Amino acid sequence: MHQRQEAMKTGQLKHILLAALLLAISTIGFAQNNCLWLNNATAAGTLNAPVNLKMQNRSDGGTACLFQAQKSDMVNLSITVYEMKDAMEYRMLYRSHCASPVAALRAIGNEAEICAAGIGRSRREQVVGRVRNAAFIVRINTGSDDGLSPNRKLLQKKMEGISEQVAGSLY
Amino acid sequence: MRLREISGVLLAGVVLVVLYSFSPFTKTGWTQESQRQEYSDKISASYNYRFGKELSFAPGNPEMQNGGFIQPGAFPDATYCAHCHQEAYHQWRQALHSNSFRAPFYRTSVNLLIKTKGIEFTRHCAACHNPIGELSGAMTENSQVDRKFDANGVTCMVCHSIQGLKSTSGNGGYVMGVPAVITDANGNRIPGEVPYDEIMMHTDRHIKAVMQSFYRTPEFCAACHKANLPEQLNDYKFISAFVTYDEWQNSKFSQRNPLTFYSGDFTTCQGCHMKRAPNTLPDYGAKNGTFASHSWAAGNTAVPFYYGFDEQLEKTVRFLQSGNYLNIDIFGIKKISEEKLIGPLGSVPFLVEPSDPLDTYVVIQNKNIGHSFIPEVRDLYEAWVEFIVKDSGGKDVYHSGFLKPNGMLDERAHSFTTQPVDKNGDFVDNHQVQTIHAAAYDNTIQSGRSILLRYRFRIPSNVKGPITITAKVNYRHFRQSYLNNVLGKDHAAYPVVQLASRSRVLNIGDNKPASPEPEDNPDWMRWNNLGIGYLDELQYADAVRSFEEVATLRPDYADAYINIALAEIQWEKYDSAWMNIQKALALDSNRARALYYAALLERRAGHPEAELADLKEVVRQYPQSRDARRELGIAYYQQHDTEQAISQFETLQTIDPDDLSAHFNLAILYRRKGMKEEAAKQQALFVTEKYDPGSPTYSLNYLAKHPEISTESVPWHLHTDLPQDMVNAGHGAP
Repeated sequence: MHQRQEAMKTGQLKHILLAALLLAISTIGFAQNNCLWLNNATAAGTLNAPVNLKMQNRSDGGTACLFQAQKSDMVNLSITVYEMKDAMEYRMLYRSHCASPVAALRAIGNEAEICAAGIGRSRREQVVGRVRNAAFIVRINTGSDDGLSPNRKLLQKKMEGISEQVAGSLY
Repeated sequence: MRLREISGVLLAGVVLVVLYSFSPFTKTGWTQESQRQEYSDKISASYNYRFGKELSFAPGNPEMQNGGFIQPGAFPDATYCAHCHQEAYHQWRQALHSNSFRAPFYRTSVNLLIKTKGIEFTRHCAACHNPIGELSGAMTENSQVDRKFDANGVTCMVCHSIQGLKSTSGNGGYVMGVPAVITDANGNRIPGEVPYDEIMMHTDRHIKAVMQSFYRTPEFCAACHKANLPEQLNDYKFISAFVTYDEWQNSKFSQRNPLTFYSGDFTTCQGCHMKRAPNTLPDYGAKNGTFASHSWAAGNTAVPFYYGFDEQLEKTVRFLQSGNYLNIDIFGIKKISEEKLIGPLGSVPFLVEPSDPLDTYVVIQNKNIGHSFIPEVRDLYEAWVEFIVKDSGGKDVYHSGFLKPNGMLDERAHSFTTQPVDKNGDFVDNHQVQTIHAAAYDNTIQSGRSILLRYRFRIPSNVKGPITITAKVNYRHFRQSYLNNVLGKDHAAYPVVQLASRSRVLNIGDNKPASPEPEDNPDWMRWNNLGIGYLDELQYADAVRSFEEVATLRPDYADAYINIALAEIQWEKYDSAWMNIQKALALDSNRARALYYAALLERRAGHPEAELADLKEVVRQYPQSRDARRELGIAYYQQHDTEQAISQFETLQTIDPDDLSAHFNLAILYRRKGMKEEAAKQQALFVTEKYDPGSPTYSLNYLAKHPEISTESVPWHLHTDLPQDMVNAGHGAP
């Protein structure tokens, strides 16, 4: 009986520790804070919806901000920034996500390029660019019920605006 | 019956509500104002009022009409204006005004300020670089203002909503009204956008809403084209940053200054930077097929280059190379073993022999720029003199002011730049103006003035054929090291624009007089400019000799004698100065410039009545002359006429709010009158705005560490590659 109680206590303790560990990891991994490169209001204006922000510290020392539209999990805007080691490598890596030819964007950072990166029914645009040796990746998922215009040109215009904001903050 | 009456009233009410809802003037009156108040209260709740609740936008200087903050959306977007003003929009989109915030060259500097001191300090910059961000309260930590307006900088409705100007102290000294594109029949401004047909039906009301007569004045430009670094920003003291407006006011183009060396036609900032030209796109603002430029061509080549705005870049380069703005005169040569300056070249014969070590005297005149060269941000903008001596085979004999393969400028070039230093005597890079304590040197040419440069080189002993001397003024926006800081070292080469150039060929052996080039100044003016160069280098004897040459060539030119007197006053040769002033007055008895210097001499000689009479006459002719007002104030002060003295100094402050003499004297005069509060205010302004006598310590520390540029801080200096013994030779000679 006593052993059984001890075992239960140990088991409960394990669960509590595990929960605490998971909580700590989630706190470290995704912290609710301010994104260094874009504020919530600008993200919300872009997505036409109130947003929640999650931030993630990447293993390579970079940081990611995920602005999630409150109305739909499918609609979000993410920004990833990290110090790059190889200018070509970073671009090739992110070009692999492109579902359309890439187009150069003039006057956003040192260089930047945009492509469609659609997944399933959702529309997704991606900009990869750099400011000096800081790489940035901006993605917008519009979902299928996003309220945004399906017009890709409009989406690209928004991407350019956000990417310029991100690049501007990296100077 | 009663029911019908009630129904009628209700129906009428519904009709009124419907009409009101569909009216273009829906957002009028209290509705708009209450929305703004609601927004303002919301922003205010979390806004950082570091500099005091009453100074919402400090260290910047703007204010909102009726106070508070304003919604960014209250400013109609530029694309709204573009519907009827296509030419204006097209030009503005490429101009610096529309890219005033987003350009990386600005962001780099301001991001550093955010990181080191906090975003609230950037209100100093945003007042002019991002007015919508400033006035909407976005310049505070954790702001939740949608920043989509960042890409548009100073928009149409920013400038065209300004309802008033504060003093001409700059730092964004404007009063912003709630933007409106139309007024009602009674002239009341109706906020927000309205349908275009409403505007077309009432263009007079549109004009009334978006135009103010002061938009055409230099004072309008002064709101942002004059800046200081206030104590709130640098935790040190007031430091004047740039004074483009003051420079214009002191130039011949303002016709407000009796003391200019030359006279000219009245021209405003807009007269040069917003010239009318045929419009290529439809624009209701065009008159007789021309439109006042909204490109504001000036010196900004880097921004259009970065954005690929080729049209703006081409306009800017064309502007910089037009207007006969600078004059380069290879005035003379001097063999360092001889005393005599041979010049003006082209007008006198001379002999050159192999192995001659020569000093070449180059005079550069700021002939037609209405402000200094370069007027703003001299720590980042870069202009310099390139001086090249080539033999007949095209081989360099001497070259100063070259660009190195890495794009950096030859450190020993004569550049029109400033090198600011911080309190540790270290160079302030990246325009971190909040750390500036002094300038190691600050080279410029004020409007209408000239500088004298000396280049020493040796004619090769084996020279065959003539040598060619070329002096150019080149310009790059920005200096290479800043471009590297902003973009990394792998950026494209930014444009270098040649602003002016002049060459002369020296034959080995005899050189005979030659015909002048079309852009050359006449000889009397060449001597005059040389004299001005000497004067500003404190070489008074040479200045007097040069101005005497002017008097010889043009004995009818009163200014020749005034210039001699000016040099003599600075040289403390007052008797001779008085005689020369009398010569000038004999030619032109009411000449304000002569009367001004006469008054100074009369003061010194103890003739207060004559002094007062002359200064009053100068003020009568030039009521906006800051110098005349100041001296007249002092004259009254010395005669114990407190009221008149106060009147002059108060008027002076309307012309230049930062005049130190006015602060100093008003502090005393107000105290005498028992106006303690006003006196204390003036005293405080004097203390913070006066020159810090300790500042040379910071700059000397820097110059001691950088001998390659230390000569630039000396008014008289020599550029050469020759060994030191050759440099020392000839020193002391004129």
